[in-house]
Amino acid sequence: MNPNTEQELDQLFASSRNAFPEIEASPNFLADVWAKIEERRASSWMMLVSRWSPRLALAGGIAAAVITFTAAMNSQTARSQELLNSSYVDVLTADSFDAHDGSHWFLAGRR
Amino acid sequence: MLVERETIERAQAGDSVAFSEIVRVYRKRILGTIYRLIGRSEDVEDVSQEVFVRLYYSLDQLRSVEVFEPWLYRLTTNAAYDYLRKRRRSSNVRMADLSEEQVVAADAAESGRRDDELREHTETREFLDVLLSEVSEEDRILLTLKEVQGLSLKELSKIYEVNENALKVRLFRARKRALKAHEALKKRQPNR
Repeated sequence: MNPNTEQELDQLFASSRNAFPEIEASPNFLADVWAKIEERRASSWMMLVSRWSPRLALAGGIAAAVITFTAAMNSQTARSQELLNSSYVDVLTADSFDAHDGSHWFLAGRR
Repeated sequence: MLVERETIERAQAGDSVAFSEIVRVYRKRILGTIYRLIGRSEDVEDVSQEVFVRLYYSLDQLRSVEVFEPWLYRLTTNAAYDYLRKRRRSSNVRMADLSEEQVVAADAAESGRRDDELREHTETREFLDVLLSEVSEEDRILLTLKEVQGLSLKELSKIYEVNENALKVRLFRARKRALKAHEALKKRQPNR
């Protein structure tokens, strides 16, 4: 490295120390800080809502699916329970009625 | 410390009057540091306000009141770092891009010793800004705090939370990169 460059860099840093004038804060500095704090608070609340809303929607969807599934299962269980509780004769009668569309019982009744 | 420890504790507990007091007391120092770190007067106030907003939202994370000042410096350097990164992304740091203050200074520098001094200061700041925009944001901040702001190694080690030897190594490397950038700039602008 060139020793002149080292010296020039040191010189630049040294002259920079006095090259920055003092900056006075504007009269609204504090008010602006508070406004930004409030703004950040509001936007962080909105961000929280927007961050959670897809998850809430997903949870809602899952809950709806679970409820629908449970209701469907319950209705199926009720039907199988009904079938299990009926006697052999009841089932046979129902089967026979379905097979003949009930017409031979009607004819038999007429005879 | 510029404020009583009680004021900091009250601010930590959510006392807005105490927080406003901290802002009032430290704003000048923060404005000066930010100005040196970012090199642009027009954005100084905005970045400084960001420091205090961050301070407000992170005061509860301050473990001990004794380390308040180095911690505030850390928030300041972080805000400057974020600003510089954003600025680099929009890549608007160029010699030709004069700030409002620089334009005014250029107009005013027709004659007189004061104007000459003003112009000299403006040129120094401008050249420093161009030089430091050639190194990383980390190097820029470290070099500015040490060489321009004039912080001691002890103060820097508290801000960076590393020991002085590690800091010396970092400074040495940052300086080497700044020298390299300086040589490259001189080749591009031989009149400097």
